[in-house]
Amino acid sequence: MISDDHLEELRAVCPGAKQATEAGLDFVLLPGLPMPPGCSPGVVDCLLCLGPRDGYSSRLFFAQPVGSREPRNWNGQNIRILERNWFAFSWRAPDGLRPMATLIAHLKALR
Amino acid sequence: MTVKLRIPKMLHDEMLVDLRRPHAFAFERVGFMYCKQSSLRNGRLLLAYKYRPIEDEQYIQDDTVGARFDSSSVRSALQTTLSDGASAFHIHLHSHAGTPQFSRVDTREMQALIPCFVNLSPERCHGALVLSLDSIVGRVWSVDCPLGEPLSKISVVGERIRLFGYRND
Amino acid sequence: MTERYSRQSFLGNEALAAFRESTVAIVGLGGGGSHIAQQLAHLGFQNIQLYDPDTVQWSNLNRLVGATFVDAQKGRLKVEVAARGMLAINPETHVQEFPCSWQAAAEDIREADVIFACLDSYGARQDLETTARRHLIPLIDIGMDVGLFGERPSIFGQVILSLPSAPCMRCLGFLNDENLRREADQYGAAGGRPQVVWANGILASLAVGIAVDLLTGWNGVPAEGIYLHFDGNTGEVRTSPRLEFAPKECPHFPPDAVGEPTFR
Repeated sequence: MISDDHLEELRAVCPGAKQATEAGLDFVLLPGLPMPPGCSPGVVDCLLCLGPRDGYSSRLFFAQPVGSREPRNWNGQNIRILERNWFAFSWRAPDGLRPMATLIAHLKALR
Repeated sequence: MTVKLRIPKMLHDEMLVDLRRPHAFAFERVGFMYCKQSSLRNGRLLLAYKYRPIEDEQYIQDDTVGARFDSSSVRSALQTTLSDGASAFHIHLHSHAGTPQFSRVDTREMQALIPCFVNLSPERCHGALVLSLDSIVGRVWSVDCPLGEPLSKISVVGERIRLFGYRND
Repeated sequence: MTERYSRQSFLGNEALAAFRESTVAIVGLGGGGSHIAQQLAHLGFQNIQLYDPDTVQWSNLNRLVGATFVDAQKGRLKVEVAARGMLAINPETHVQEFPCSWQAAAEDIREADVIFACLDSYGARQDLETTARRHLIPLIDIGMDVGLFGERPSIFGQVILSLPSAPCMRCLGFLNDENLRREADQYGAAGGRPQVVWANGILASLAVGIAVDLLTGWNGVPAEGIYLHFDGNTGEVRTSPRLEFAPKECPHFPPDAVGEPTFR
């Protein structure tokens, strides 16, 4: 589980952020997360995976694919996690960052 | 409403072992099994994950019934349903083979007890199971069904899958 | 009716009732799943869920049990082909066809008492197993592949039983970060994988046998852990040595990780 400090930091950008564990991995649910400018839709439920999964050291999942200025390879389709279906694009964020920095690193790909 | 229950075999075995222990004066032992809930297209699925026996000192001597337990044990069970976000099932054993039945005392006592759990957490089902040495029957209460109804299907899941339905013989 | 199943009476007096009362899901109606569907119909299973969004292609005809030339010509749904075959064997079978991914019908698959996972990716297996564990559903995974090691092709496959509380596919080393990473890197680059009917048939038959034993106990030997390797070149089926090193209780799916997820 992530620390309360890290969760609070995420709640600063997403007040409804809450965490859960599944299959030994920690996830943070980020309901209604604002997307970077130029994205469509502008707000999406997201799920941040903070451990290695599907060959990525961390991954950001989206409730639906998001259109961005630079198209991304949405190679994760209908991935079932925590009893919801998620989508994800191929993007490798640096390892060892704190949760907020990990989130920013993933969202950067949509700028 | 369809309500189905799945119990891991390890938990089922744990309950049988516990309920068969003799007590100093109670004729039967009792415990509470806790379940998490999931939705089905036309009902609910309950998934058992924990069992807590009534402690020896929480029984009250009453020769007119198989087992009677004090209010602290009920309070503890109610607290667990809140803390865990769980459904609670009262469990006891009829020590014979074959399909068990709710006795008249069982039916009366469960009708008095289980609605307390429903009142506390109305978003969940709660209920009662009677085990035998090789079978199970169960009833479930909810806000939609305040008088209880049989569970549609009970499964014990492990290296052998056993399926049980409510039988009214 | 009694005569119909008389040759399998050795499975026990309650076997047929167990087959009729249970609900079985087959996820993936390709080479492996199509065999399984046919066998379940023969055995007398009556409540079947079929999940597969795909249609029959020409390249499927070398192995898709029940599929015909016309099915490929018309691009018929694989679930439709499987259902047709099952109903022809036993018209009393109640078959639910889901021409979609199982994720799109997640509430329905929860009804299953057993899931046959006949998928072709590690990622898909990972997710299906997680859902099965969350809903206390035994999952039987099958898969085959053909590799080129040295001069000759090698056919190999696996059958894995994933039971609640028992070692999962991660515990058994079948799902691991390395093979998931390799799969992620190859996304979009992988073409049709080699598949042959006889190897699929062997793996499917082993899987059905495991399901029958789960529901009837006819074998008398508890099926606590099953991980079978199939060597398609020698015809051998062996228990994987990984079973010996797997933890007795699965650390990835604790007992309270069932039902709706709990967020904090």
